[in-house]
Amino acid sequence: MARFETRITGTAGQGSITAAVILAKAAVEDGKYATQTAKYGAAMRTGVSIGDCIIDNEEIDFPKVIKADAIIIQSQEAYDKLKIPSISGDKDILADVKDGAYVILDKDLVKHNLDRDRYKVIEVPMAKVAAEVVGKRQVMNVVALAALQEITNIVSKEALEKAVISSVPERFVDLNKKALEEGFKMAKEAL
Amino acid sequence: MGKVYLEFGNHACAKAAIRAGCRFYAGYPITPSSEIAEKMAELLPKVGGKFIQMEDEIGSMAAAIGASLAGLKSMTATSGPGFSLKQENLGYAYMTETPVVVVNVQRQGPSTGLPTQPAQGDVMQSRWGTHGDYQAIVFSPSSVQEVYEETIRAFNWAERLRQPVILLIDETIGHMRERLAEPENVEIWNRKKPSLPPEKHLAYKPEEDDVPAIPNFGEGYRFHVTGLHHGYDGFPTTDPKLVQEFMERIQRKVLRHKDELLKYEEYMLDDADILIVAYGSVARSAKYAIKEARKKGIKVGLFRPITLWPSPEEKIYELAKNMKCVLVPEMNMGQYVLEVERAVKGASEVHRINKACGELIYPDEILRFLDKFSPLTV
Repeated sequence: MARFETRITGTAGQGSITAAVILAKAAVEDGKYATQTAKYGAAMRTGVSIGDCIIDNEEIDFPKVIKADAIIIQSQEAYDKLKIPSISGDKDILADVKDGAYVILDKDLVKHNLDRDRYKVIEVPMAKVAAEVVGKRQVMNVVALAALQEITNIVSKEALEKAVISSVPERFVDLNKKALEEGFKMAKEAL
Repeated sequence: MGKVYLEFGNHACAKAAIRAGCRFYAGYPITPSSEIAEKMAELLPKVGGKFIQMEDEIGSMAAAIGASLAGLKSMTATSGPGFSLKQENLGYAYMTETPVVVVNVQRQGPSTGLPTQPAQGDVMQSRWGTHGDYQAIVFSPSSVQEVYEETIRAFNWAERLRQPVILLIDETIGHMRERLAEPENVEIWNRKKPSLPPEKHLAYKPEEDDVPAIPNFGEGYRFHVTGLHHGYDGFPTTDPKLVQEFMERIQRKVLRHKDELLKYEEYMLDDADILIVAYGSVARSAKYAIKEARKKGIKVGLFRPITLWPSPEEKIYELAKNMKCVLVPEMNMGQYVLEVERAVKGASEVHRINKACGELIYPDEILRFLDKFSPLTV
């Protein structure tokens, strides 16, 4: 497997950075290399946060996202208002996304006009599955990770589950396991 | 190999410090170094160590020195503004020959600058920040793995040579999570003990290796510690002979171990005609750029000093004299490039890429230079 860059975005509080950490943990669990970084600065301008994760079979040189292979968009705010300050001017949400990348977004929360020839757009009801099927809206980020796994197979299901379990308080373990199961199922239906 | 897991850069530093035997931490929180203090506050009490948050960085540097004189391996961590405040007492540690590890997780300066964003602007300060003449020992890790390893190495050299060792991290590495493989076995060095009984021992009398066996306070030896120049008994002196001898000795005790202190990585240098000298997080951008450039046939390689000071000047000269040009990309307005220029002695052209806006240098910024300067495109 070559270098694979994932960016997870959402409104602050949706666990985008936590999700990036869990993904990186899972990759290391799989015996791969991973780096995880968070974008600061952007959150001062909007309520949007960004968690980045690079996964590779080899040691990772440049540790940050250059052109994402997959992006998860958890809220309309992230889609509309994300501005990443850079030396060459503010960049919008798609500026660092590769042509042909997986764009995984919430079917009910995010309205978009993405070019479907340019990106592999995957619309899934992450928020709805978290709130109504799993029973807690807060696990939306884990549902999203499950979708990413099902779609890209970038980490193994076993490693992802292990990473989730080691990242949440014990009383929420079952809830998060269910979030993974439902997320896998949701993504399978969408594909 | 020991445990392999995802670890946060600053936490790797704290864990390695404990592993190296650190049992005292004094600090004052400052972004982007605060997680080191947080982790030390959590870990130290579990191993019988002490953590104290002081009133400021001046006090925390003083406390770390005091604890070290009392026998504990000590450290403090900070960022630019705090590093400036620590300079006076850092000089006191060089003068009193007190082992201490000072971590600086660099952010963009000057002054309070950009608290949450990376820079490499303290490279010269780490060498020359406090007044007077001394040999700074400065390590610059490039990954979370190296943060762990270099922290242990910093403690070892601090103890062996009885002087401060500076670990120069930057925000990118400090705030990054990455795969860490904890080494199963690590070599730990401890400071030497006096061989003579208290009535015969002179605390500051240098031994064969140029390092005095200064006793720990509380172990029955009575001696004097001062920032003034001092004789073998530790009491102030103005004797030019003793002062000159001391000044020469504290340089020599470091430089005689220079070969052992120097640590670096050489990457794709065998057939290279362009040399990049880069350290810390920027070296990772350079490696990425080198791989891309090689695909186009550009013969470029990397020299990555992990030990920034003492400087690997002879090594840089040896490499540079066969190159068409040397490039030094840095997240500052041009600091280590001055040392590279000095080392190269005009044997090759030295170019620079300087970025000091809180953004990591991206590989394409280095690639653009390589495209321009490669013999292929001339």
